[in-house]
Amino acid sequence: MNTLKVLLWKEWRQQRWFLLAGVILFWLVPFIGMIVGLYTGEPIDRSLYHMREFVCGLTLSMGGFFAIILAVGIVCNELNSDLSNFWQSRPIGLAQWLLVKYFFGLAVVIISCVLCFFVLQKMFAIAAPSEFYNSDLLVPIYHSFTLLLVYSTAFFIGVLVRQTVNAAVLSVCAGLVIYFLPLVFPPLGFLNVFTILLEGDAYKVKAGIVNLTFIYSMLVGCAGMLFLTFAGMKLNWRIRMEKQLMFWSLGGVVVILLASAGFQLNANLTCEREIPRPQKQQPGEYYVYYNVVMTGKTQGVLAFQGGKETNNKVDERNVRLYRFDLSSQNVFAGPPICTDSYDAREQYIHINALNSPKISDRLYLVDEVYSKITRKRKEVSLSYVLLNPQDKKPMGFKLDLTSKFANVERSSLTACFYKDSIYVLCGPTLVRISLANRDKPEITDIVRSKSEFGQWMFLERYTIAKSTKPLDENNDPLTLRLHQIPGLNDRERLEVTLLLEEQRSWGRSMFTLKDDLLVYFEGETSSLGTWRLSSLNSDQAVFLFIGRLRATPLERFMFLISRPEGQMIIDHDRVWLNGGTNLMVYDIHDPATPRRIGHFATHGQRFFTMVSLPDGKILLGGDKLYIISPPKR
Amino acid sequence: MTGIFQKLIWKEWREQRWKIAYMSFLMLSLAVIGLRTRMLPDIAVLAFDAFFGAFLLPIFVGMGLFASEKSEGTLSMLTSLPIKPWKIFTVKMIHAVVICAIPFAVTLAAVLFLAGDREVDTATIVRAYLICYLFSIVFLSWIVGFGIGQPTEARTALVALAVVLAWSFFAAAEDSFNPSGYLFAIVTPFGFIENIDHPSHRLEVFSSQMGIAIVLLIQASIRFTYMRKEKA
Repeated sequence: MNTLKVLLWKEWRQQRWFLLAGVILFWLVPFIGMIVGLYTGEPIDRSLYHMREFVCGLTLSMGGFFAIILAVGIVCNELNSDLSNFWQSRPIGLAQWLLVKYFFGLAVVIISCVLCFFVLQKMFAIAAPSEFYNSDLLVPIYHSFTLLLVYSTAFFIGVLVRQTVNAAVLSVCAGLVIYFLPLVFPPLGFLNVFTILLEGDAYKVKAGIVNLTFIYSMLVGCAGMLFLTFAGMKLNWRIRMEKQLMFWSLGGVVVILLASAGFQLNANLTCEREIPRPQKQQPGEYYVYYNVVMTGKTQGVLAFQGGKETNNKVDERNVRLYRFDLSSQNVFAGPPICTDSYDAREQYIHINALNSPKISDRLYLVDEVYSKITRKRKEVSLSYVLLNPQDKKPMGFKLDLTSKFANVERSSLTACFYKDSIYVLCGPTLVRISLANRDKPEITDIVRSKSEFGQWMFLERYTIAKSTKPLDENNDPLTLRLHQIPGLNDRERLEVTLLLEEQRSWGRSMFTLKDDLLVYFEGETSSLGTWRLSSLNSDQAVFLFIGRLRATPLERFMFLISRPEGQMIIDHDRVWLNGGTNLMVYDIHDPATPRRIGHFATHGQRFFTMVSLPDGKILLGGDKLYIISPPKR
Repeated sequence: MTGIFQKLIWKEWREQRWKIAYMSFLMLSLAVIGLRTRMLPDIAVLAFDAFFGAFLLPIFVGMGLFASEKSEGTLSMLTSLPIKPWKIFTVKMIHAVVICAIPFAVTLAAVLFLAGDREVDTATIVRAYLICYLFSIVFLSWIVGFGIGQPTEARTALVALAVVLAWSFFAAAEDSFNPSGYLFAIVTPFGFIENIDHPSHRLEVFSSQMGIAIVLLIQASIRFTYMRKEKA
């Protein structure tokens, strides 16, 4: 029997229990969960999807910890016992012993935490090929390298400390530093696994581009740790610290990381007023504010969307419109002005509420009905609701638009109000509805573009980034192709195009225009850019770059934009950006140097809509209504 | 006998007091940094701080109660003292309960001073910390109950992690098979937290949790007595 076989056998005997624990935790438990899902009638693709999400969360939360326990356990158990004296008396080189131990442990980590994910991904890709994306591979690709570095560092610390508890505590310190220091210290942002996982690079993985800087950095770190381990063993480096000192070190690292994060993020804005939702009509209902439309200085209409759950399944969806007055103590006086409910087992409805200050007596609604099974749009219609309380019949007429948007059942639909007309855009088709006769709106124009995409040149930035010509934002202009709407001048075309395009779900990007200043929030880099309108003709508008604020890794992590709730408003040189779960405020007083001046986040609430109030405050609607005062500059 | 008893209390105090300082420092730092910088809403900071204490404190205290005596070889000396084992066990557990209480109390006082009635009303803050303290005590009883025989602190910590994992799988299993049931709330200390939303089950949850904790501690006490006999 040669030496390598002996060493491998020894490692197998020592590490098999770790392997068993890893397999139970990361393989068996998800597998049992999948069996349970199938047993309870879940389709196999859904069951696999849930298991993949579960394994993803488990690996991210427990993977690093498992790697630390394994590395510390296998090193300290051996070096802290008489076994090491025995092996040192054998004719086995230190390098051989060390490498076999290191790589055997590494194999255990990979089999436990990484391999299961690839197997689940493969099964998912076979079961549901239409729902499988390359970006789903982000976790196994990038987090594996972080795990390797954590494992290597813990291995090195184990060699230095040789006391299990002390080594584990110090390794947890190191693990926290590896995971979180790049998050709170911007120059190390390229080593940050979280922002890579949560946003941005998904597009690059989709395009086949892997973040090699991150991977190389992690591998260099692993090689460095292995070299140090070898040197530590060879030169008999030892760290002898009291247990208490180890724990205080851990506490110190936690506090320093947290303090760095706290002072970097700055103050959460104070909510001036929090308005709970109106009384529920039936028990078991849930509601969110879906749309807010102001009809006066403090008056407006809220569109609620909600539903009723039976056995965790939504059977019924409701849409209700409430009139509100913010100046009144009792904000919601009276019953809903419109109530509509429908069977939600096979369909769901999306409502766009539109209102103009010129037409304050009614609210126009563009309704989209989707099939829950095919996820395709079945019906589009325009209706209106009279807001006058004396009206006995609040719901007005209905204009069917379905036939105008044929073959674009999956494209997003946006609608806007502009100068006595409503514009509805879906796919390449734009419909203009005249409100000359308010009681009976009618279609006046249908404009068809050559293609749905390509309105924005900067949507092609991914293509540019991939090509050999790198993007030079200081010189490359931003070009917007305008919708060819008859009867409008160039400026009006630009404004309508922007009103429609800014509502579309372009990844996580948002933009809005004030005078000649375009503010563009780029989702994939979480940066806020300002652009000046340089030329405008009937076909296109060209913008030139002014300035940009790039988010730090921590800001990108904390203020992740979750479309489609996102929305952007410019008000008094402040940009309010509703990211779905948080609100950010930027100062663009000097457009060349935009800066973040505040943020507002609640504890797990979502924000669906945002309007600017006449007094400069912001009304934010989600699970509740929030009134936020603007922060000081 | 009283003298030995006092010395036992003094010994435990000397051994464990740094843990009070350490956990108070950690919980206080998290709360003060979060509430002073206002990086997140107060309720998020408080929830994070209280959960942090509720999970970490019992593991930290439970590790050092019996396993450290074993690993350092002082258990034989301790069990050879002319005092009944259950009294030693009781002194240790009372110390553990007090050690868990002090960081919560210190942090709560600071939180009320900094952010009482600011975004969250005082009664809610006090209730949240009290619930998390109860959680930590019951979790401690699970750690002691299942980990009393472990020879090292590291293994006791692994037992604590295994307990948390077992709870997680229990929660997942109940969610799959019986979503409307509340067996999980009755059996695990998460029942204290779920009670915030379902106060109608308060008495059932509280009594079942206390019952489980007492049973676990009684069996741990018996095992501790047998450990002395084994030593003898």
